[in-house]
Amino acid sequence: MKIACLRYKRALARVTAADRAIPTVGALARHLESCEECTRELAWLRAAHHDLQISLTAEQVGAGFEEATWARLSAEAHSRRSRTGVVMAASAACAATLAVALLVRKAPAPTRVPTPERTSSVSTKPSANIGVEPFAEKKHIVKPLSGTGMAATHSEKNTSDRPTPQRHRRIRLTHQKHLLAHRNRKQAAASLASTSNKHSPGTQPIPWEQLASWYEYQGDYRAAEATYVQAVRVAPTEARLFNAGRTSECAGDVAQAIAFYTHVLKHAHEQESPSRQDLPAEKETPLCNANLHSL
Amino acid sequence: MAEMATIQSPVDVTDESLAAAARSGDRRAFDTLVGRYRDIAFAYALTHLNSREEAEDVTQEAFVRALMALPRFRIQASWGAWLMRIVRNLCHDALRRRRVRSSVTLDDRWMDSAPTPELLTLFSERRSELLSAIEAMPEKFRTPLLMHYGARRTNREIALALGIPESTVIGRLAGALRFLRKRMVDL
Repeated sequence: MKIACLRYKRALARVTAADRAIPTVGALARHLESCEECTRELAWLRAAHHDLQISLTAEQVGAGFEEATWARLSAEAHSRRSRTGVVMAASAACAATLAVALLVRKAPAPTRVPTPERTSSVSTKPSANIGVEPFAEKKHIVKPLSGTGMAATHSEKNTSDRPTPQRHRRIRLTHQKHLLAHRNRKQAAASLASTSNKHSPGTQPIPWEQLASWYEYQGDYRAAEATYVQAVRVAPTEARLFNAGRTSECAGDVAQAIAFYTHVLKHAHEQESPSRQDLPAEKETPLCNANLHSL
Repeated sequence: MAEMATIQSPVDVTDESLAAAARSGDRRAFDTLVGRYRDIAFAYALTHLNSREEAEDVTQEAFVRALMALPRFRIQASWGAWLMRIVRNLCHDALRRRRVRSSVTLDDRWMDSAPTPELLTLFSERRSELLSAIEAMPEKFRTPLLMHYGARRTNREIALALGIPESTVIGRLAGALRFLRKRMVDL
């Protein structure tokens, strides 16, 4: 076999695989005219290509594939929603428990002024003439000594966990920190709730107008109307409301269209009123929520 | 006043828009999206797993994952390529779980159960030779070959499914043909 034949055989395989015709001019065509082996190779490749085309076949996706996938997607979305709900409920319960605990702890405790004797009894420093073993010294506060003739008195037991002014201040600071954290959590939850209907920064914004136009193009005005209504709920603008009315009209639902147009006019009238003329002009003024709820 | 997008046909709606709408509950957008990628994803999964049930399961799972994980999707990338990467990963996972390939032979899955008269003219000996050669073929040649001749996918679709350039797909198909030639001549 010639060395050139190897190169031409590769080229022939590529031409056959790409379903292209063999060029009639050029080096390959000239080589095919002169080389019988490469001509046989081409004939074999074409035959194999044909045999593969007619003999191989693949199974198709089952008829209920879309339904099954949609059901699976819905189930997944539902489970995620409920998981999120459980997490949020648990967080709310934790926050509530914390708040209650803080309120209970914040209740004013009977204050006692520490006397010099009491404060000295709390001191961790043992006196030199006590004769306590070093091991016992470490446990002096935790466990009063017994059997050594130096057992803690009743007043010492009470004063050992009694708050000192420094401890009062520390507790107060801790309370303030907890309260601040709780307030921050509440504010975060409130802002999350207010933006739950809008897109979060990580999600893709849905091009409602594009989708609705697509539905309109296909003649499905009901779907277009529903898309515009959804868009109004997410980010209400006059244009979207008007488009919802227009698509309702195209769908033949005149009463619904009138309702939409009425909202548009009402909103325009509100804008022209003297109380609102002082406000700076906006390109698209969001509708108030009261109007939306009536939709 | 009205905001009208200039959409001439459904083809103009991008995969990303459809995926976002499908995730928010739009069934028609979902159907359009599935219609675009169902066959290619299934063909790839069938080629690898050699089991219809598993291939359907993997394809469904890939669609669900790709739609649910949409917020993590980078807009610069192609949604279809992303979906196919998920399909590939799921296929690899399934194969790893299974450890060994299904005992179903290639003949059962990829041969026409109702052969045409043209096919009957093909010598049975040559047909069996062809099948055994395909079975002995390396994975990188067999997958594009089965997707091209069996599932009737275009080279561009195969390139998307495998995550390789189209020219590489043609090269691999050519390699598969040359492998067949060598194998069948040796036999």
